[in-house]
Amino acid sequence: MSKSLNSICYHCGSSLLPNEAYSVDLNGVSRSFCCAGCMAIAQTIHGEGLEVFYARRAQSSDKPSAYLASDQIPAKLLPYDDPSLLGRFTRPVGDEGDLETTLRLEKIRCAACVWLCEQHLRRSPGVQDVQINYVTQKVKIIFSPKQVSLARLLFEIERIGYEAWPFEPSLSVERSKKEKRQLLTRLGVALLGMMQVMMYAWPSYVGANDITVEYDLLLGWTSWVLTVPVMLYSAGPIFQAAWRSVQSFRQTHMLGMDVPIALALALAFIAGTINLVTGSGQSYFDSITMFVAFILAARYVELLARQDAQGGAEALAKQLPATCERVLNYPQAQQIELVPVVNCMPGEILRVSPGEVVPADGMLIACESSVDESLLTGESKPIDKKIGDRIYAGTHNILNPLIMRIDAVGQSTRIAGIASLLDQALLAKPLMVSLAEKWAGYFVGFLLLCAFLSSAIWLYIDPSKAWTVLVAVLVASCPCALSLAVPTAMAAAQGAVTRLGLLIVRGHVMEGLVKASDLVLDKTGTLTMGQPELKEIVNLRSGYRREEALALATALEGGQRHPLALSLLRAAELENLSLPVLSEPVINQLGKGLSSGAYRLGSSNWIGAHQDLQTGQYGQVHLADEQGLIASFIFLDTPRVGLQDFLSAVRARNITVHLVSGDDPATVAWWAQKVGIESYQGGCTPEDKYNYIERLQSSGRFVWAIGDGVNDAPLLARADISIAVGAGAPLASAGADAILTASSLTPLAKILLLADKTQMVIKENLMWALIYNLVAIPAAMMGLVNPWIAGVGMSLSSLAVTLNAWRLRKV
Amino acid sequence: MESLFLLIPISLLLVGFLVWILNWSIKSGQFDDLDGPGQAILMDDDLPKADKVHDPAQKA
Repeated sequence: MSKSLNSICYHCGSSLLPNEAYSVDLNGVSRSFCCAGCMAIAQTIHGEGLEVFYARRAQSSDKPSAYLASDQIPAKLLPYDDPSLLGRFTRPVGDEGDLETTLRLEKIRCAACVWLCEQHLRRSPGVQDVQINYVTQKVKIIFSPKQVSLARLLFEIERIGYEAWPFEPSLSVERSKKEKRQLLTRLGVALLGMMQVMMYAWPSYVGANDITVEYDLLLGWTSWVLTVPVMLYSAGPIFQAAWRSVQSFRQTHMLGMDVPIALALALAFIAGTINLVTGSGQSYFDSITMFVAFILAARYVELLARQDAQGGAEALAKQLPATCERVLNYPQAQQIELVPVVNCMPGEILRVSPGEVVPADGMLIACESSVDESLLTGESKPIDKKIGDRIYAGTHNILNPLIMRIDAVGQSTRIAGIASLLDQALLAKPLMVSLAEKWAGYFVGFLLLCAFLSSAIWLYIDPSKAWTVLVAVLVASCPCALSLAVPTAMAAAQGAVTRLGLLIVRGHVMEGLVKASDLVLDKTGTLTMGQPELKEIVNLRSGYRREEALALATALEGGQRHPLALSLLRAAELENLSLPVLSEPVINQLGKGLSSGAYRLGSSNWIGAHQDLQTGQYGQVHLADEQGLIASFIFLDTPRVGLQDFLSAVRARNITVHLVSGDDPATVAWWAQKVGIESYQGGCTPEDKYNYIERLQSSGRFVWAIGDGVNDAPLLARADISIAVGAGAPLASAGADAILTASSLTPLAKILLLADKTQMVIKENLMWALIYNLVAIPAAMMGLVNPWIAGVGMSLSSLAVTLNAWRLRKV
Repeated sequence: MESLFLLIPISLLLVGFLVWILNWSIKSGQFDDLDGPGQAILMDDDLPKADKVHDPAQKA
């Protein structure tokens, strides 16, 4: 037991090699750490008495950067105290010169992480107030700039193992917050009104006929007083929307769903008020308040889901770094200063270290390197950049520190162009008329027809009852069951789907899955993991064992960030190999490979090995010494887990599968053949992908798309329904209707079945609501409906609908 | 039964009071984060002493 405890790092949980462990005494127990960074974090946490975090966290933490061991604010955070950035991210508050800022936390895994951040910030000097939101993972801090700086606050969060970046509160965020609060207040007023009016209506429900006139009047007028605010305040937006829809009828020739709702509400309220004044007949106030409350509840749920989706602008900000290294006096002095990216201008020179994201578009002018463009273009392999090559913002530098001249920053970069294409695509997205809306449309039309028809007939038979019957039909049909039919089924299905690993952002996904006729898949990152895995080791020299060759190659690659190097490291870790210690330092031979003494590891040209070409493979490296080749390592991109399950589920439904990728056509063709996809296209730009979908849609296909990269964002936004892979680019998630949080594709196969079931339940529910109304309306038309029976029938039908939807929760 | 003439107006006042409370609680942001307080109470049960480690200056 104690052995296993001491062989993993107390903070990050990574396995320890006996000779390189750090050890320190915390609260009387000796703990081991993998690095000084982890140790510093644990000491900070224990030092503040927050060690309960380690008992409560759901997952072990990430491995931190080494500089955390010292108490120095790192240089990359210092520019945040520059007045230009400080002014953007903070607002003055109060009289004592305090500042307020909003930070977005990263690397948060569980509630314990959020709690730790909150407690740690509260204990920092100069912090006046901390408000943390567990859902959005944003924290609002009020601090006194005399005692603490913004950079210090960011560093304090890094010191306990997380990252934070200042969040520029945009107008749209403020607006959506206000919208949400306002709708919630309207809903609350309607619910309170409904509750009270129902209570006052109870005597008439139970048929208390002995109630005297003055009490009837008292109850009636009290209900009226409560219904007025519900009508004016809660239902106000419904009337406004209905009025706008009527006004624009000449241009659109369409009436919105709000028109019949507003009409029914207004008629019922006027009729109820007239009945109240004349002292005869129904008052309908209970139905009105309940109707408004249910409609607003459904809209509130929808609003919550919609606001969870990020806008393109916020996602773009997350994709690019906030600061960069600017080179002064290039090429004479080559002084480096850290500046905010917003302060950079075209023509200036930047240095980008390996592992960092390129902050602007530009041209490489010195120090050749390799760049990972997979998120931007879908190209799976790192691209070697030579002097004069273009470099794009948002790509990852992986090999050497490179020097570039800026051509474009901010809104004129390639990535910002893709973001604006995304916003365009969202506007152009074909609107799906949902099943519920279509049925509700028919239903309301039918209802209005019935109401006016029966009122006309009654006008002929007995003019005094015509008005009463008109309203009775509108209200007796109280669309409770109808308005509950779809939302309850959707809510139950969404709960089940979320547990399977799919987060629904825009509501029509479950319906869309049933209608999909074509599936467009991206390759890198979606069909495949976009990550090479060691496939096999060939050409092994006799006398060498497979493990020895692998261990030697891994030792050479130690510390490299190239995907192939990481893959070798993973393979060695998986087989628990102990790495040999190299006698000579490793030298990185640019564009060729690595060498240490006589050992060389690298490309076939450099080693002089014969490369047996095999299409579809990710790449290969060769290990050699002075006597020649020792071994060749062949890498293959790995297909995503559950791909076969998913594809066979899709094929069983006669959905045509397309593979559209930015990777080179030969690789795309190889993969399409391997997994059995007939239509494919390689070498696509984001615009090509967008056009591909547009072509499919214009030939009447209903397109479902799955993707992960920035280059997929416009495609995802344009498709009828789209799913973004959760581990992909934030910008891709911004355009998608749902986000796959599971790493396997198997849940999607299950979700397809669930979508069918949901559709069934919705149809059953609508059918039930229709049958109920078909019975209730004619009864009301003939003036037969007794309020007591109507009340029981209404509750029973709502209950039946809700229970039916509940069946979807079990997956 | 005459008491209803008093009780029902009182119930109206109560509803008005409830609406005011609701409005106040929404405005003060109590409905913005419905998960956090529930989680925080689980974490805070053995609330540590508020020692300020890297901060000898404050409150000294």
